[in-house]
Amino acid sequence: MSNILVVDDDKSILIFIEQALTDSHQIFTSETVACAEEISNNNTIDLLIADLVMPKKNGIDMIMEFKKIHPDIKILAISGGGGITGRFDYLPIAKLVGAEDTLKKPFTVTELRSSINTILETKH
Amino acid sequence: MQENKLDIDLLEQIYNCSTICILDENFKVIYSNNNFNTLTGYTENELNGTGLLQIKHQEQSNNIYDFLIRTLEKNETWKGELQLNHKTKNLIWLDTTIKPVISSVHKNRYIGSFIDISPRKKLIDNLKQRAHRQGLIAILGQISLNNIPIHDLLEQTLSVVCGSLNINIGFIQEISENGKQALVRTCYNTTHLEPEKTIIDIIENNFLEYTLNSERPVICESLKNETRFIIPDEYLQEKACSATCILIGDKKHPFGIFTLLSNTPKNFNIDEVHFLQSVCNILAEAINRQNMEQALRHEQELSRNYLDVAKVVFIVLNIEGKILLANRYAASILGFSQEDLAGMNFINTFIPEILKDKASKTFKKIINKEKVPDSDMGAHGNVTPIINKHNKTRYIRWKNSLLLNKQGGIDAVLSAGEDITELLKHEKEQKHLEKQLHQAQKVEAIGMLAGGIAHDFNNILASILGFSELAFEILDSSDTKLHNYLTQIQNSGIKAKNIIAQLQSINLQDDTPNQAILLPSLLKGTLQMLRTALPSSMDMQLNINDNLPAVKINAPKFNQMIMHILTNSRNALNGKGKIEINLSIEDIHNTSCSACNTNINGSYVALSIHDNGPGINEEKIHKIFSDNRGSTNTGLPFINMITHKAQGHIIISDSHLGNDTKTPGTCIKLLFEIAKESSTDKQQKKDDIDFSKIQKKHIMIVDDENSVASYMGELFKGAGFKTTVFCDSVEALESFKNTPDNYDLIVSDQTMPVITGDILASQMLEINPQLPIIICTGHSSLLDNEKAEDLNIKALLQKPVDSAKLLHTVVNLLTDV
Repeated sequence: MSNILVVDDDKSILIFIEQALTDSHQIFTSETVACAEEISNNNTIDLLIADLVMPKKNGIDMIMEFKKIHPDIKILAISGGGGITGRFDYLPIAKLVGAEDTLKKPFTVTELRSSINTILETKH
Repeated sequence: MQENKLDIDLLEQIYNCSTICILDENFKVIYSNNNFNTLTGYTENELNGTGLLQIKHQEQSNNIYDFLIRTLEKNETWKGELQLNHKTKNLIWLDTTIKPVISSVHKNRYIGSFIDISPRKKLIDNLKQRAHRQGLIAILGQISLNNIPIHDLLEQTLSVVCGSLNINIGFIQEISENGKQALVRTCYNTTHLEPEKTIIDIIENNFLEYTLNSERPVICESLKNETRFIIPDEYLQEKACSATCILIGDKKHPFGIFTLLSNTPKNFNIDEVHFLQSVCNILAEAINRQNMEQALRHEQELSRNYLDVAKVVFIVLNIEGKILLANRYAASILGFSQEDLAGMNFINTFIPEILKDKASKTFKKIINKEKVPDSDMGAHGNVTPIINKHNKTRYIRWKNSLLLNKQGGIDAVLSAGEDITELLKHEKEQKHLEKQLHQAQKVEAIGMLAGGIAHDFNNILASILGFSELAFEILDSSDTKLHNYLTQIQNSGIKAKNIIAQLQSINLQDDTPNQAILLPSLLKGTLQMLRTALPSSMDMQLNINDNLPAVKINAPKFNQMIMHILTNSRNALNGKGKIEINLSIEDIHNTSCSACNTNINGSYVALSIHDNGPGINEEKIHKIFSDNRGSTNTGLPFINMITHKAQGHIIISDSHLGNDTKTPGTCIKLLFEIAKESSTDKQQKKDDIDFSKIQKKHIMIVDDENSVASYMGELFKGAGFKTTVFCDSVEALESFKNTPDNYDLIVSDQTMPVITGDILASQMLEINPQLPIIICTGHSSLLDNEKAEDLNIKALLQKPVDSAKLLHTVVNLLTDV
């Protein structure tokens, strides 16, 4: 059982991921980066599932900040690909700044669980 | 007796007032009276026994004496003019009568009676000489008008003057512009002075300076005893004893000095002085005129040059509209020589038939000084096209002005015209480019929209597919109906996912360099999107080989290319017909590129798009790449540029499509060079870039703003790069110069004191031309994409820089190296 924080501006994604993982993990969800920061300060988060294209702050900056404040946190970056502002694929960049794995939306439940398990296993 | 006495007195008186001598049979004086003695200067004794021949002047010929003797021997009287030598050797002219003495006592005696006519002779001589000199002056004046070169004129004048005045030595000097020196231009009989070489200084109180300040000829009778001024050594070397100098020109504008030297004491009479003065006046006038003519010629030449150099058509028309004068540019525009143009009727010859009436009317209005109404002017002013000798139309913007004579009447019309053909052409081109840009912007906007939609759709699909998957997990296996519904939802979701994936492959971001790309998937995505834009009546067949090596190309531009080609095909087919698209690897042998004519050999990834439209005229094929005005084919220059930037070529051919032999059809084949093995591997693992490799790279960050610099430093450090931050561009450049191999990539601000980003970049690129450099610039910066490309700056990012975009650019550049 790990603490997983999911950050995505799309509420349905938050619910979907929470439903997919809630049996085996403690899930926190947040629609904004600010809220996510608060949650991570109050709870020990093992894994951050971060959407990369969000209003206000891009996911790359968020990942870098989280890694700085919580060096041990594991990160899974998710993205629907080319957004309006970016127009290019953020996922490789997420890996560059420290994301353990990336998933391109839409992904299957199996893909999600397998990715999370891999990330969390390397913890030990 | 008394009568005899009277006779003797009378005879004595006659004898005393006459000049008489008596000669013997040998024509020697045996008697001479006082008058004769006085006239010749000899005493009676000296004369006694002297023959007339002995005192004859050397100038008189002997013939006259022969004739005299023969006449007297015949007992006849001789009359004539004798020239005798006075005792002082001066010439005396005598009107002479000699007759035989009739006497029985004095046989063979002759009596001579003489009248001194020397003064008269001298006067006549003087008159002759004066006439001669005036004749000379007239001739010189005539010569001087003939525009012979000044030097020749001086030379001829000098020799004529010296000859005429019996002068031994003479020369003419030219005064330098500063009035300090005199250069000997031409010489007559000089021994030391050399023409065009000897220079004599004009110094205070010397002969030359004295002459310059004197309005009359300066005569120096004795060079040795001269006290008024100093004689230059050069004059003395000529071994002359007297000299005369005359100024050519006047005090204000002296041209030179005319000098005559004589080795006998010489004093000129007033006639001679006048003669010299006249000669010098003629010279001065001639020189002055020639100088003025030269200046005028120079001026004319200059004006003509201005007229010719000016890119303006200058034509002078008489009131009948005939060309009086045309400058060189006019001749080049009209296609005739300047000589041929003279006399041509301008309107009849050069104005297009359809405009002749209007032009004639306008010309009449100009001649009548009427105002030409503005309605006759186009958007560019008074533009009238002309058709030249080679049947080419040029558009000329005219300005006319009247050339009036003294009475205010019109002599001619000066028409100045500016050739604005190119300007109009550029305007057309600009409009065309604007259209293209508009098209490109539309394409870009579609790309942005597609990207945005894809992103949002992926989120939605994530929910649809995710929740249906979760629903399966909790589904009771007996509920087959619900299972069926969920399967339908999931299948449709997967279909949608595939469409979005293809849409996303049309990434229309076009500021990335050429990258190794697998064309099959890119092409499929593009066609997927474009298919909806093509009418269903067009039959599109695809033969795409999925197993192709990668090629290096800019993906968004490739997509635009395909759009252009398909648009052309659609236009050619008029909405109905076949298009066959083949993508495969092809071996090309000895085929030349339709655009660049290069001979192509080797293996290429070949994309051919073949339609059964009306085809392209073969003659036009080469032209369509450089000039698509008037052509319905859009974007061919663009396709040409992109293909060649990807080291590719184009082959356009007219060929039938399949069995359809009725219509010619067009096949455009784009050949792309196969990317090298390493980049193919990289492409296939695009999502799994080996960051460990690029994270070893060293990035230099230069920004004069400390906070920005350190933020970027943190960013790159956070991304695992080795970074060095500089807040001073001078220090940064120094560090780079010291260890250029130390840095793999530069990220620099543009606006910095002392060394700006572009200058920093160009200096670094001089050392390492391959160095990837990213410049971050504000909106107001003078550096634009075009300039950056010229400088070989790899990327230009707008401030504030999005961290993700910056990292993305850095990764792209470093994996591309």
